[in-house]
Amino acid sequence: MSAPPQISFRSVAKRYGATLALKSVSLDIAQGEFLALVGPSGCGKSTLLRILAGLESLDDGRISIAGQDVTARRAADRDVAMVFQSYALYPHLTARQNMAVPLVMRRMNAWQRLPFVGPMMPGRRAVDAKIADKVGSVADSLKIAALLDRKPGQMSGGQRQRVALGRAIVREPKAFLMDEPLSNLDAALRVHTRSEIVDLHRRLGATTVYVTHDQEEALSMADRVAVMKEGRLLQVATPRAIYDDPDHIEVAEFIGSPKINLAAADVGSDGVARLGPTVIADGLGDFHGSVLRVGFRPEHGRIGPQERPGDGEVAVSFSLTRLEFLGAGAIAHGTLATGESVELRVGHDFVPPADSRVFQLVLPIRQLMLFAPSGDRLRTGTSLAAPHAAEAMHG
Amino acid sequence: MSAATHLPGSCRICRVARLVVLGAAALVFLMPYLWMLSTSLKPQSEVFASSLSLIPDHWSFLVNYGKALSRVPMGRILVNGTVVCVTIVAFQIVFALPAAYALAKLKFRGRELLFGSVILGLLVPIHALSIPLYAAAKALDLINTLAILVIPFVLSVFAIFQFRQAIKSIPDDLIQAARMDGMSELGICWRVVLPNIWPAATSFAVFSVVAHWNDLYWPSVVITKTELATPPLGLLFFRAAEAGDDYGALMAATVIATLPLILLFLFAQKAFIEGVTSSGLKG
Repeated sequence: MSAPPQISFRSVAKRYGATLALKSVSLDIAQGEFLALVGPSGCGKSTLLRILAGLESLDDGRISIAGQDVTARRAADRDVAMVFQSYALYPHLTARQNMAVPLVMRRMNAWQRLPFVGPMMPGRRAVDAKIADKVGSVADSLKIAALLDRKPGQMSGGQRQRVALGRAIVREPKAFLMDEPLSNLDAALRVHTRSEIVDLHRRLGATTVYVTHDQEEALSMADRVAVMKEGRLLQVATPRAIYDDPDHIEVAEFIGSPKINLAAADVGSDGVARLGPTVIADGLGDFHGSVLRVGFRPEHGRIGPQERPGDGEVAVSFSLTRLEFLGAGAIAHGTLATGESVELRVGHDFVPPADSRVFQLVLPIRQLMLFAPSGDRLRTGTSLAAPHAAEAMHG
Repeated sequence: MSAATHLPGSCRICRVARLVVLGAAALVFLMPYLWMLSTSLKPQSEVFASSLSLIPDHWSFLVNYGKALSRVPMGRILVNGTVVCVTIVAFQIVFALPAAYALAKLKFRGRELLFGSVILGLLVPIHALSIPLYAAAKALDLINTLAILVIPFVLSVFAIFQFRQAIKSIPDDLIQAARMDGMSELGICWRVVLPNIWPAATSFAVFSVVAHWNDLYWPSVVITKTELATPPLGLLFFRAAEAGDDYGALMAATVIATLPLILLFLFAQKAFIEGVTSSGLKG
């Protein structure tokens, strides 16, 4: 990234009493980028967003938007718009009035905003017309023109969500901040609105910071995903890199559904890690005596009575306990010989034979991820040099 | 709820019985007012008649109401009451709303202590303060002015308390959305908070107007001129002027003094219900 970042966090820290909600978070977001902040509840993602918005104070660090330090500025003066999970529409105003509020506050002076006498102030009429134009065109683009005279109480959740988006868009802010905007919608509408927001982002090209606890939302919508846990950024990378090449076991576990499978691997005195009896990595002398974790995605293994490991593959015994049919495919639940329970994606045609529930699970070694006891990803093992590590360079 | 009439087990007879009981209770509560109305229409001779009758034999509407309107400047007194009550309510809301907003939604050191002292203020009765207030009024040369009827009441601790409770129910997101939209804190108070606590504001206004319209204590301390009297004090002056035995005229004056309140209440009741049903804060 050669262009200066649109949004920049520098060592941002936040304390609530004795607990550290954010521990020195630094992050740059490029102009026009769609960044998803994702993590389990309580990880600090919403706090980070609210600090960026100016709705929460920070205890340490600096924030800049479009090259200007805004750390000390009020929310109103940061020129960013926010879409809330609860929509936060003004209940006493119609959709039209709701969308006009940010423009009224910015384009009219205090005299023009006064009730009763405001409409008689010079220049008010021209401002009114411009605001009405803008609201109308944004409403058309969101297909909510027919709702403009309704109050929020008379709209469905999805309609309110659009009005809330409209209220953010009319301002043409420097950045959009979205705090779990889809969480209150039902599942079908959520998937639909997801693609609408992505389209909107394409069209407007505005920098967007999107907070969600739903990893699928983050992967499917964002240019880059920032995974947070306990007030720290674990990894910031493209959705593909986050999924294929996680830096930390927490990232690997949080991203992906079904979850990544983890098995224990002992490191012998020879510095060789084994999954069961099979060697999967060497050159790990530093970890002699400790137990590493081996991760593999549910779609990376093959199971079948006839499966045999080929070159660069490893086989472990897997006993099937349950097959969960999903239509296009299925998920095989079972346990490894070493005791860990795992879930595997299998094809639509997979039918386990009646006589046997024990299979060979064949895994390509290059798809295995090795994690140190600390949780950090190990890329040192010679057999595990990930071929796609290059495309996963983050930042 | 419109479904109330379809509750299981609610037969026609039960509904009628319920109406009869409620109607009887309403009549009991209305009785003093009806009696006042009746007396205001009776000639002097019938007021003290031994037989109890609500309907007068001889109507003396014009005589009684004519006296009530002519012996004291009744119109002036009603205007006084209106001016005093409206001014008090307006100031109370102007002062209490920002205070209640700060206590409910802003975080600052000592907020709970401040709120505690507000609650403490609820416990101080006007009677305990009337001597120092009178002394201050005297020193400022405000005795026998309408201003002194207003000034001690412009800051209502009860309003702060009631508004704070109502503002607490406004979602934080709404306040924060308003900040992001560019509103100042005072702007939030008037543009976002007040419309959303309208039912609380209306009910407070009704309480306040009723209390100050009916207040006799403080006006009797600081007002001695009939033309500055509020309605209850006006009634007192009227009774003094009439030597206190023309009950027909006195009741006529009382009807005139209470009529605005009854009208206000009927009007506010409607606004009340509209306010509750249209605020729609949920979701």
